[in-house]
Amino acid sequence: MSPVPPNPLLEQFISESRDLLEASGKKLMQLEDAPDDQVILNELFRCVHTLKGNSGLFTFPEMTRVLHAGEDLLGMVRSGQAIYSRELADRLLDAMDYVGLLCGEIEATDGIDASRALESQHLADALRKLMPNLIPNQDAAAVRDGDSPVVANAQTSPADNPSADLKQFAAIPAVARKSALERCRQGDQLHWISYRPQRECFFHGDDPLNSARQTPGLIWGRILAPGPLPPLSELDTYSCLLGFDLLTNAPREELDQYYRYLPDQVEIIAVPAQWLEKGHGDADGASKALSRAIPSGSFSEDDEAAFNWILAAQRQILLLDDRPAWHAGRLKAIAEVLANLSQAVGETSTRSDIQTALAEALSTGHNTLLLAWLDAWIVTRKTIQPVAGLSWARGTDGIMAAAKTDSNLDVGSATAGDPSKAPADEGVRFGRRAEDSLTGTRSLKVDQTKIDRLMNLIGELVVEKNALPYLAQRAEVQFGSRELSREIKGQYSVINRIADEMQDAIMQVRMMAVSFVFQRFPRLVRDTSRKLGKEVQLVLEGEQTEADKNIIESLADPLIHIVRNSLDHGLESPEVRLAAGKPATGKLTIRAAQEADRVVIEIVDDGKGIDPAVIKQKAYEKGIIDEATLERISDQEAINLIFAAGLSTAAVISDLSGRGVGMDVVRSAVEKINGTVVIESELGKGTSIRISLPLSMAVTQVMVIESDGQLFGVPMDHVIETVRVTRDSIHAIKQTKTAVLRGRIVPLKSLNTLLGIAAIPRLNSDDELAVLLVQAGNAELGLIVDGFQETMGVIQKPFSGFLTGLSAYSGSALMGDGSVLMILNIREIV
Amino acid sequence: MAKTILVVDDSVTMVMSLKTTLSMGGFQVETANNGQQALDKLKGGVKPDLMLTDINMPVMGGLEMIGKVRALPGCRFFPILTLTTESEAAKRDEGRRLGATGWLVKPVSGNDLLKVIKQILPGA
Amino acid sequence: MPIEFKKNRALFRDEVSVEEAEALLEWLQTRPTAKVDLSACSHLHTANLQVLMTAKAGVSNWPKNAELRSWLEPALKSGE
Repeated sequence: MSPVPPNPLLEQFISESRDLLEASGKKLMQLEDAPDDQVILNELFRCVHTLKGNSGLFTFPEMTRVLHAGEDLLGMVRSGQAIYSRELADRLLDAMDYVGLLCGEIEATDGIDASRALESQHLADALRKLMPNLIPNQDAAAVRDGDSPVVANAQTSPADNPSADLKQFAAIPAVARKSALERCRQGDQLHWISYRPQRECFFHGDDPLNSARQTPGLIWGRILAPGPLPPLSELDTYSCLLGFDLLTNAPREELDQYYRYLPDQVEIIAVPAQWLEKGHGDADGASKALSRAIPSGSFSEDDEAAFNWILAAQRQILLLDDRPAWHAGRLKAIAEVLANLSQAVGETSTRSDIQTALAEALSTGHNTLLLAWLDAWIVTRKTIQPVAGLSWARGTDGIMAAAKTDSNLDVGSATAGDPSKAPADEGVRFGRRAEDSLTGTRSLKVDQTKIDRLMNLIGELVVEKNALPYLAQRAEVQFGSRELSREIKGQYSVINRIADEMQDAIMQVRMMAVSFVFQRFPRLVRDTSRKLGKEVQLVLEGEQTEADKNIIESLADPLIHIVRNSLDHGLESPEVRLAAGKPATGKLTIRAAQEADRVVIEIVDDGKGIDPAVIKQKAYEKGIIDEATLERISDQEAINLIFAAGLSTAAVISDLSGRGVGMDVVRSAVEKINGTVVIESELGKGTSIRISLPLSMAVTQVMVIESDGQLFGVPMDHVIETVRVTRDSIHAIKQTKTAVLRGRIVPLKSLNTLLGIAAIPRLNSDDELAVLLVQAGNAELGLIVDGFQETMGVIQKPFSGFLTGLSAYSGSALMGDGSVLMILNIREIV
Repeated sequence: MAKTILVVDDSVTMVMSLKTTLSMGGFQVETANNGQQALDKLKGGVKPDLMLTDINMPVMGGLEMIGKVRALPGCRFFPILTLTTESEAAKRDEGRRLGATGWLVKPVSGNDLLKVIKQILPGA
Repeated sequence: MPIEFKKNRALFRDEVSVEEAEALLEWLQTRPTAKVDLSACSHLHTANLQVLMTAKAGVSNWPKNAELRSWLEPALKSGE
């Protein structure tokens, strides 16, 4: 993996990291209540472990460093070497916060600012200080003994080691020996590998022949049976009886790396050149004979085999597609070997060809040129007559052999027949079927913009379908075709149903549990209460309650504010509580529940409650209410003043509840998402705040009303009822028109007046006014309009540009006939 | 025919990274998020040519899984590589003892991964 | 099938995996004169190799893969 990751992987990393950080925080918190719980501890360890592992996929050393320290520390806690403590939890939480911060930074800038290095070091040091023996950094040591296991030490003398008996080298054919010596002269270190696989190695997935074949730098190798092979009838197929001797010119480190899984099964010995040069009868003779450029005809069968062996080996090396640092050296060595081989068979003229191919290969860095030369040479080299059966390198022979094999195969499949194939096919198909059944529940992470697009499209469909009733009407009225009209209406009802279902489906996709927000609270409550010296028990209920993602997300800030307020101003210190006859530990409950099409969230504390007298006085001092109001305001109304701008009840504005920014911010945030917030409080007993929110805010149900010939939409959230009021039942109290509706006195206002329209409200034939009873904040109000029309679901679009200044409207929506419906912002106009 | 590799890791990021690398290397990739899922896949007919597994996973960890995989019919011989961190050196040997072929040290570079697989898997 | 068994000859194709070794052993146990055709074989697992070596099975065709052939020829020839 390159240091610059592809973007989807980075996105996945960030998203998974956030999940893991959240889980870690939660586990840390749980651990505080149950420090000995090994299950939680293990889960916590795994979270941090996975985080660290993932961070290593990228080049984020600042993040990895901190996580590494965290992992080590938790590892020690797990093994009992370190003790879980509050401080330890604090440091780990700090570390997790920091990693979260880095995630944000990576997301925003694709990287981590270099200035973070120091902080990262501090955090890592703080974690390592909690370890019993200060271990500055373990990785270096761990990597050393983990990655490069000490294989057998290089032997300097064969006498020290029986297996390095010089006789071993007698097995090396002369041509291979010569080639090896050539490498030595090039400066390569030769190694002799004695590979004796364990008997049970097959059960570890080893294939020793494959390992031997792939050994780097292989010059020569052989298969042998170190012990006597049993009679065929007694052979245990799966007990490995074979061994391998190999001669290679690969560097020691490369071999150690290659055989690192099998340190106990291989012996690697450095071979000085003279071991190979020492006379071994025939071999040495053959070597000398080769050096004298013997005529091809005098090759023995063994020589021929060895010759071909070397050619094959060179070819194999050229086929390697890696580019090690010693690539150029490797090419030169091959060229030298080839030159010697060609000389050995008396083709001295080829040397310059090889040199040309080598020069080109070196300048381009590609093996292909040398390889091409080698292949061409193999094919054209006619000077050596093939030994019987040796057909590998000869183009024509190879083709003939292949043709022969093919015909054999045809016969084979005919005699074996289809039955042998049928079960295999069956097996495959069976396997696939079984796999299919494994699907189970699957989830898919989808980029939110894709969901948003889908939702917008469905939204448009919902609106566009509304054009069909108009069309039906036109068909009937304008074109006089009642039948067509009926058909269009029929189609409309089908499309309408599907659109509704689609809308419902997409809403389900966007649904999210409130736990997304709730899960932050344990940490928040813990940190805040500790800072304030208070004891607080947090109770979360209904975390699985779901609502639209946007709703849930915009809920976070108001909720945090309310919780901080409760901790700061509501709940008392343990001493005060005890003095008041309450338990020392305060209780804060956050509860979510679905009620009809709304989600209701309550934040209840058993703290000191709100004193209406104090609020009244404060509000008066700050000029929020006048003297007259001060005298007649009810206690509940006084408590509601807490939502008024600029009121803070704490004697000292603590930094916790937001530097004096009051509950008015909470109210406006909640109202922005069409929610309502209600507060109840009893002095000395506690406070309860209830937030009610729509489940979804994508589609707004509006009632269409008419006034002065124009249509307006009023969100159904605000509509209490529609009534007709006769003119004489309207009374004027002071300057306000009122009417008694269902036993209550309700102020009436004309929509025309509120919107600055000069026209007076129209009366119907029965001398009645149309009144829309709406809820504006905590008050009820009768809105006098000209008439009511249907209710419909619309996609509200907020205003953009200069229209944003129109606070009387919350947005606009497109109607089925293409006209624009203005949606009234009830709270603003009354 | 492309060789199949079964990747087992509880980290979605790690699985994604490995899958990308292996797919680029020409392998068919099957994935599982823990040992139990991997066993279910094997029992369900997935026939990997090689398995690549994390050690520390929920539900069922890598070491426990290796022992169980080797006991399944048709699963005795394919190579299994463990993905370990540098602090898990002891687990590597334990893995070998239980029937793993070798290990890789996280973070694994794509080239190292393909190189080791090439060494271990004939014809890869 | 990586090994195709005929009357008295076994054809090895591509890579012959460890899973084939048992069948190969059984097949060879009842056919002392059987020969193997390795021409289309690119690799055979060590387990198969040791079965061939123990059975001293004759080779009718050597692998076309020169490198594999250079490994197998000395090992299997010595068994003949």
